[in-house]
Amino acid sequence: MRLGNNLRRCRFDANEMSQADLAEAVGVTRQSIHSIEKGKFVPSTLLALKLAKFFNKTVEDIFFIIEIE
Amino acid sequence: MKEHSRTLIWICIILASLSLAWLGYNSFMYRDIPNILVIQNIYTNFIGYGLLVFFFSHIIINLCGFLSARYSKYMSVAQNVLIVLGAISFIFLLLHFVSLHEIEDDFTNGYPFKSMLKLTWHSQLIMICFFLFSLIYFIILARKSGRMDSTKSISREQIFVTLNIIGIVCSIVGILMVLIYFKFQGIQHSLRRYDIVPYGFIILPYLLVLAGWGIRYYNDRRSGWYDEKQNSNINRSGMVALMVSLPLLMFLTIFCFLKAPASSEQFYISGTITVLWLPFYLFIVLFVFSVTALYNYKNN
Repeated sequence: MRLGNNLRRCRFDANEMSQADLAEAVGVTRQSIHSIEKGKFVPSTLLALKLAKFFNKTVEDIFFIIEIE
Repeated sequence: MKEHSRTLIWICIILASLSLAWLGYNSFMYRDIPNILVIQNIYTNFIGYGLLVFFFSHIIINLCGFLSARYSKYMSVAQNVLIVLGAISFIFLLLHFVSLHEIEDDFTNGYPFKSMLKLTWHSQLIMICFFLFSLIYFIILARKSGRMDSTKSISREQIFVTLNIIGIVCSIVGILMVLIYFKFQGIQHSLRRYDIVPYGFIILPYLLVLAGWGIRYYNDRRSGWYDEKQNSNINRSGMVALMVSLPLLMFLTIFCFLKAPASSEQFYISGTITVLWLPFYLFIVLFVFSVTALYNYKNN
């Protein structure tokens, strides 16, 4: 099981926002956004909620579980 | 860009220009080495004043280079090069000072001093490279200052990366110095009191960057020291540093114990290793920690 996300799509839907601008908005570094998008880093609940709030979506709209057999 | 940042940039441009001019003067005077080192007059005194100027210029330029991270969105590579070059040049400034002192001593006692003379010129060259690079860097920064925007996320990222790069550079220099000391002086050599001082200077650039981070944190307390990914990377690196350094130090202690000379059917350990284990351990931990932190930050 691992965490998937639609963060990249959300950014593009929000006027093709850059990773740096999103990082600035939620108070993390650009590298953190990059790692979350790539699925290398699992964000905390707080950051996931911040991201959802920023895009005006629910956490489940952005993050989902990928089942691996 | 804030007005005081622009002032700092101009201070750095002036300091770099002044240092370059002074390096030119010193190079001109060094043609008469070693005679000028034993003569006391106004011209030779200026060489000493120059070393003081270089010392403070290094500290101010490095600190400004570090603080300019926020405004150098398009110059992050150049900024990292500046800080790394600054750290190397600072270490060579100290070696420059030592080499001049050694040349004077050797000349007075009639010993050869060719290798020290080489070190003097090499350190002079590295300092010229640093001041020239910083001059170009700050001129470009001053020209771009009107167009630049500031982002906290970029700045925090650069601080983290820069701190770890400086950590790697300082620790490599420190480890090499300890190993060279062991190689030439031997494990049982008694340590002189001033032998320990250079290790303090080697760690100084890292402490300066750390101080710069502290200043930035004080100015922007809301965003914290580092974000959650950096926090996770630091935790993981701390664990790796502990796992690597402890067995290494255990091995080193056993090695030194077995190599120590026997006296009255008892083993004793004395000399260099009893004191130098601390800088050695410190630099090993710093190296492993910085490398893993940087690797995790880029790849995980």
